[in-house]
Amino acid sequence: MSDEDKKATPEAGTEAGPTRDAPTGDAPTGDAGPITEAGSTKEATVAAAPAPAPAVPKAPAKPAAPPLELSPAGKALADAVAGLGFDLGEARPDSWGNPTFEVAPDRLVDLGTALKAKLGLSYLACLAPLDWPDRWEVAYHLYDFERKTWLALKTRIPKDQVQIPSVTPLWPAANWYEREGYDMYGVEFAGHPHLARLLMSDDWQTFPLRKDHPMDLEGGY
Amino acid sequence: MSGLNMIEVRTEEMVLNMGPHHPSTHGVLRLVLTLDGEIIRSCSPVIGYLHRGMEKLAENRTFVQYPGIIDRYEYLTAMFTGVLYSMSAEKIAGIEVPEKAVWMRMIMMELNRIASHLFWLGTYMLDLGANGLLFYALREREMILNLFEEVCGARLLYSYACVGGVRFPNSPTFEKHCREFLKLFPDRIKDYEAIVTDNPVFLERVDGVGVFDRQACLDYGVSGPPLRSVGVKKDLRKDNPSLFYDQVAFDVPIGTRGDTLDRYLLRIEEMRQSVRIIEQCLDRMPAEGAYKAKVPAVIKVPPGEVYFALESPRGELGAYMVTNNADKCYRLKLRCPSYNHTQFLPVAIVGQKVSDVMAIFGSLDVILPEVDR
Amino acid sequence: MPPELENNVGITTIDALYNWAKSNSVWPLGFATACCGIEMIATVTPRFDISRFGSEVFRATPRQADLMIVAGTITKKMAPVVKLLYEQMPEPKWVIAMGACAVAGGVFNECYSVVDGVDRLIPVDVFIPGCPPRPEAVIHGLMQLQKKIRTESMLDRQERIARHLAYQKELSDEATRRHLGDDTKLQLPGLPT
Repeated sequence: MSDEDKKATPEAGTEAGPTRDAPTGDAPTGDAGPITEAGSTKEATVAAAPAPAPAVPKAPAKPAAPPLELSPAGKALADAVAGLGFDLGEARPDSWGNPTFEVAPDRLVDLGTALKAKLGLSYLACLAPLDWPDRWEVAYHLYDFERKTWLALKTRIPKDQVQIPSVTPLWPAANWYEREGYDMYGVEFAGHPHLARLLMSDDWQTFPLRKDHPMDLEGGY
Repeated sequence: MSGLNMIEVRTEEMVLNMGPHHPSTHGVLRLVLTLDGEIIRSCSPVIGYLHRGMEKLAENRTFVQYPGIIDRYEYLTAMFTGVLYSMSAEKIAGIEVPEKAVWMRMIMMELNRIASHLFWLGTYMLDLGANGLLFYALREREMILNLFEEVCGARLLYSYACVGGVRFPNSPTFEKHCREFLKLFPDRIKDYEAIVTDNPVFLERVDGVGVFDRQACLDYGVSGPPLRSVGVKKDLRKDNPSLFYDQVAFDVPIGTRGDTLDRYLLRIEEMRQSVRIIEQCLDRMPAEGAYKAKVPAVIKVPPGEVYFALESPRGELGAYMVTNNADKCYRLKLRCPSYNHTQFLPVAIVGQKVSDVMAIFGSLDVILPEVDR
Repeated sequence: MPPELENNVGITTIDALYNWAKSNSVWPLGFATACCGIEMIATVTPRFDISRFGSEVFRATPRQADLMIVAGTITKKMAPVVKLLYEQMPEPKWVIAMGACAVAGGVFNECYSVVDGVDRLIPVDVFIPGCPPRPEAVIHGLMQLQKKIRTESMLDRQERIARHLAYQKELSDEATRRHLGDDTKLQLPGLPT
């Protein structure tokens, strides 16, 4: 453990410097419109993110969602993550008080390495891709045994790009989750050791969980 | 001796296909094993033979319809899945569940935990070649199913929990019957232990077999009894209590050796602890009160997201739900312990003998619809 | 008939005798894919005890089985395996589709990966509805099958096999197109690289 610690510490330290202003510095070079927006307006994303669903009419007389706040354990974990020196902005709570951080795809592996080495987050509980109308999103849920809470990392890529760095070398549990993500959404996890279909048969043609994929496939595929 | 020429024996590795139709895989898992003699050199599980599109269905079925479907996702612990889905939606929407409904959910979940462990016990012994215990274990399981039937009319898939509470009120005789069962059951556990625990044939098959590595378990996201068998004390009922688990007293047994025997002993002990929990729940459950909160006929959940998890008999049963102010969820990712356990299987069995595959695989208590969804 | 044999000899047809024997020793294939499999196992236990009907001998291999109880959802990935298992069973053979999924796809009927009923793949003799059917329903289904077996005649057997084959050919033409793509996929997919 201590070996890893020593190895990872300088790496993370050097990485943290140049990448600190990556979200603002990187985004204009690529035409990653949604990423810039996401990077700059972190706090507004809870309210803004689910909004683009054109099919659903706004129901006015709805019980509003209760105000969100971090659980005490989540607060402690969020502070610890903020102390790592990655400029992640403020943690956003989900409805169970777990902190959520946005992270740009190119810093994901660096952040993951630092989290694993310095905070001991080696337990990847869940990995879920999402298909939003304007972007792909991948949510990683890590469990912290010390503070007894989950940490969510979110990374997003524009619709026309389906490459995202793989975290399988960091967390072996991600192996099948990423294969499933590829199988269901067609999101490619660059650097994955064996990115093949997992749940569907090898010769399956479509990506079933994409939003434009129909529920039923009449007449085969 | 020196005059004898040693005959050079060359062995070839053999590829052995197990499944997808195999009596010991408890479903439709396919394992491709590479064998060197009796030793397993590599193993690659092939899954997806029961992929039924649960997550796609969640995006196409309303909050009222889906609790009935999600039972099929994990049919041995159907009470847990319904509660998981309902509570995720309740967390986002901020729906308060009446106290009585929470206690009822807890009672049902713990009864279901016992039923699931009993079924595991019976079929695991079947895998190890002991036919008899299946009949004993399923006899007690039928008693629990009778209780479920009394409350919600179904034996296996209950559709019991719904957003806002539970779907059925308590039957007047439920408490009496439940207490009768709780009184009788600890003695029955003693019976199983008398048959199995000190049985030398059983010990030969499990003692010291399939010792898991602690760090590998953490890396692969193993949870539940397999994780506790290597000495990691992770029980979401204690660590991240939902429902009223923080108000009842119970112990979380953990193992020391991390072998198959430990996982068996943990499950036996968990059944005893579940009996304790149910007794406390019955004592504390209010006699009167609503069993369901007032929710509109068409439930719409405001935008939000939650990762919610329960400690199911197999481990961390989680759901990542994203909602969109619609009557359906925008995305539901089901995090199932068996998925990680199946992924962990190659790590656990490489280097072991082929006859131990089913002893180790059975001790993980994998259930295939949970893997494939 | 000599008087001393009057109480000791019965006269029957070979068909009746053969069918009586067949119908009381239907050995099922333990083929459980999903939830219904649990209820199928519950049928074996003392509370329901399917051995009263001579069917408690669940075989692991299709080559020793007479009856295939398809208990659970059949997915498109599983479909070639189901066909293969059915074809490995020796004649005479029967199929029970147990549960809504095996009958018509059940609640998963609309799903992209699910075959809408096992009768798209293999001929079915008895359908048991329910989600899942209770063990009593399974036993009732078995009794219906026994009733059907008792009406068969040995002379019809060739015809029955021919009918099965014709049905299968028709099915495989239609079903493979619908669910399996083309004929090559009827074999088990190869080992992963």
